[in-house]
Amino acid sequence: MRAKTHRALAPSLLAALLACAHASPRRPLPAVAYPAPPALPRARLAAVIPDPDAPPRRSFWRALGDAIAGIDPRERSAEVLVRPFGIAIAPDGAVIVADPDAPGVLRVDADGALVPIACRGRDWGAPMAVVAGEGGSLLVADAGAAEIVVVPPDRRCRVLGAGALERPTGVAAASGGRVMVVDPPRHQVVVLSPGGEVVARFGRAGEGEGEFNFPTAIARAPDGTYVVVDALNFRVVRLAEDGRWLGTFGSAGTEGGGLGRPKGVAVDEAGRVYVSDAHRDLVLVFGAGGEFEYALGASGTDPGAFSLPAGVAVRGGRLLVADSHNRRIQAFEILGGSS
Amino acid sequence: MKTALWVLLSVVPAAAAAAGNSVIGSKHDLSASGPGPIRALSEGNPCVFCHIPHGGSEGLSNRPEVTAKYRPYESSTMSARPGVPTGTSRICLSCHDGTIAVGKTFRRHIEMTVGAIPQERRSNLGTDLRRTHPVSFRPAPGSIAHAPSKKGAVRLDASGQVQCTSCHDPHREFIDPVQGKFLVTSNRRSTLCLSCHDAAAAEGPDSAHAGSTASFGPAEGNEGSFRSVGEAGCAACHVSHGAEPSGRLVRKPPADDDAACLRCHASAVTRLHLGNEISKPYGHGGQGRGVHDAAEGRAGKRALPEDAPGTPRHAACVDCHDPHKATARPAPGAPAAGGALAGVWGIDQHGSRVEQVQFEYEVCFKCHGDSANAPQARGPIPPDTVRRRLADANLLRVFSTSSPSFHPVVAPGRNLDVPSLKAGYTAGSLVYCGDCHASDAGPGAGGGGPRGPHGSVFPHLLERSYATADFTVESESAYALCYKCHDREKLFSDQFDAFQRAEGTPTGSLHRVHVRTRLAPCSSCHAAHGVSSRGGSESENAHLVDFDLSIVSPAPGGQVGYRTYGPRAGSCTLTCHSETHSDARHTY
Repeated sequence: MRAKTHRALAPSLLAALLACAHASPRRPLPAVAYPAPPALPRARLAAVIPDPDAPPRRSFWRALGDAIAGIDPRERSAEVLVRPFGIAIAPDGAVIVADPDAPGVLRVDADGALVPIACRGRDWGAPMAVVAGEGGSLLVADAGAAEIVVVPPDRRCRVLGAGALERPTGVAAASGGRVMVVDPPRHQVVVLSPGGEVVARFGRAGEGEGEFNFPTAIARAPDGTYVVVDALNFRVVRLAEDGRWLGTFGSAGTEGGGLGRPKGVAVDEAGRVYVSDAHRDLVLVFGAGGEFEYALGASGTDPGAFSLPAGVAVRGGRLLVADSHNRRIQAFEILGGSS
Repeated sequence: MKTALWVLLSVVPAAAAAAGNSVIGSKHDLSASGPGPIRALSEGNPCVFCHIPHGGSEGLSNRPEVTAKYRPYESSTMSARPGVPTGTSRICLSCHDGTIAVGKTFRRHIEMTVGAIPQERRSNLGTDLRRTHPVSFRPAPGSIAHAPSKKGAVRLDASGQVQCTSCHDPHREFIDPVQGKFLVTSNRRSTLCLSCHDAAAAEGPDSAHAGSTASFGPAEGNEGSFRSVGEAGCAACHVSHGAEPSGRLVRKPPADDDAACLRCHASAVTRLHLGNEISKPYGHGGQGRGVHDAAEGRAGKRALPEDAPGTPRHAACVDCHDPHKATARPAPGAPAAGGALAGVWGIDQHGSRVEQVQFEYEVCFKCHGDSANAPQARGPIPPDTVRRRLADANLLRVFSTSSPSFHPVVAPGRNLDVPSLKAGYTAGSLVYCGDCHASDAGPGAGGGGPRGPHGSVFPHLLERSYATADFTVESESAYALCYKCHDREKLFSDQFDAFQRAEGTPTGSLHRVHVRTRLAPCSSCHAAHGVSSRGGSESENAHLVDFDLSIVSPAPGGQVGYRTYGPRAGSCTLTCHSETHSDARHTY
């Protein structure tokens, strides 16, 4: 569409240049599915964002300049994401990315374009996690600013927990507009009221019950309980909203369901727990009971492989992974009916 | 087997603790005995945080599966976008991502050198190293970096790559008791950096910075409690992590080429304060900040001298000075360059690049020679600006020995009969550009400020006053610049002046008549730099004569010019101050 406009506007030579720049054939996404055969595939790579083959959105003059300077337009798309870390799927299916190094929060458009989400009168510090809140709002854990930011559709943002947090890296929406936050350096889960006051703090440093060792992420399960990645205890903790300790699963290891560096977490509608592992470059999938089911991913830069995967999000049969050092988001379709 | 593994894991830290410098007690000790408030794991060892057990099976390795799946470096993939970290660097980054530990080591763009650093030189290093020192690449022997000694503290990993662990030993926090930071060795006097970077490239002989005993504080960039700039070495100006992406890991904002220099040179760290100089109305400092590129002037890089009229002009500290090689050696006498210019590349009198300037003017010719973007108007044109008939902004051409007339910058002037020269100068003397263009507060002007053309209150960055306005009343100060070499009394004396009337009533010194009596400035007749062969000729432009057309106008008939008839003989045709010379002859 865009190329057509260019051709209409530009002299023929330049049009030819532009056409060349756009001419790279759209390669079909390689068929990547996990687990590998002979096991039955459970998840299939569905999209890579930004699309490595899609021409980026450029102004006509930028496109012209790129064509003359010989800049591969695909280079431009890589500029958009610096280190995508947190990820969420909104109820309407929109994908939201938190990028602490941009720093920014971005929405992935239906056509794969990345649109920044800016608060009025507030700059992002280092947003590391994002989740859908109430009424179309977003909850963003701004680790750099040490606060939680509520981003309503009108962008009149509110700050929660200022002064009460040290480095929030995970956030989950709780009932009644409350917010659950993990604060790794304090080894705590913090509950904030809708007004931003601290309702409760759970946990302390350690490795026993009621203790955490750098909890990095939190997600709400469909039954209203929470899962917390207790990173340096190499386990996933189940927690009730009132702080009751409901148990743990997982242990340190580099094979099977072993946790190397568990990082992000998401729970699907069936209660399966998806844990990204930045050491193993995998997303580990555990059943609702905590039993290991399968793993997605591999180390590397190929489609379907990860380099230091961080946040994960799952909704409606779609799993999204923030592939942080590959500077991309990867979307998987969960096979075998409803997730 | 699993039991054996845990027995081993339990024994190793104990042994390491006995050695006195282990992970135990360091920031990386996340167990009970560590500095943090974390209670011991039941296993009682701090290793598990990095050395993850081979889950449920045999072996003791931190990354068996990653090894199996890891795809080795592929340049085709890497060149498409910043490379991904490999090897042990991945283990570090899996915590140092902003969750478990600070992630500012890779705070912004994860720009890494991919593959071997190309042959050649430091600017290439710089182009690729963005915000953080690159990891996961192989150093290339033959560049200005080399593979570290196998017996040294800095090591490459098993695949020959630089990794985080090349400089950091995650087990031993205080090998460097001052800085800590898990450095594998102290970086005092750049020991760590010079393990890979060639000392000869990083520090010239007698480098003023490398040998500096000046103390500097955190505000000036001393992050390692170093006692002096020399002790800080590379770290005085460079950072390994969190640098701005615009250049070479220099500790500075991206759009300010001079900030790293001025942090000390515009503060009490240095004896002479350049902050005052560059804030003067005429100066080099701060012009076109952010434009300088260390690779400029090389084949395939940004052109310098500039090749397009629209290119912004710039002058950064590092255009004239090489901070690695500058020395305190005084300038030995024109035109030889002093130590302040050591290590800088330049343009010689033939317009060719020289890697190390030998003569001061070779630095100036980088921008004041063949540059296609000179002159470039900056702000309003000052009043009294001279308007030459044969203006030539290319000073390489003006000072060329083939020019009709020039001040003796590159070679002695053409005219060997200069009776006005003060004692100490002869017609064979040479002058530096910096003899005229320098700080008004520097030693050349009798002040205590810094030398060199950094800044001046006088237009054209001149060291002294050089009046160019018509009807200027002659005084010692009006033409102080000229009188630095040319004796005012001799110039205006009937006995010494070479410029006297040939016909009619003798008037004595015609310089006196023109300058003192008729109030014409020196610049109304003489072009201070000279007159290039582009339009100029030996017969019409000897003695630096090229009239200022804002003062001098044509004689009736449209002629304006000067002609020489040999030694001390010539004639003028022009109108000036309502008086017409029609082939008016002078001789002596």
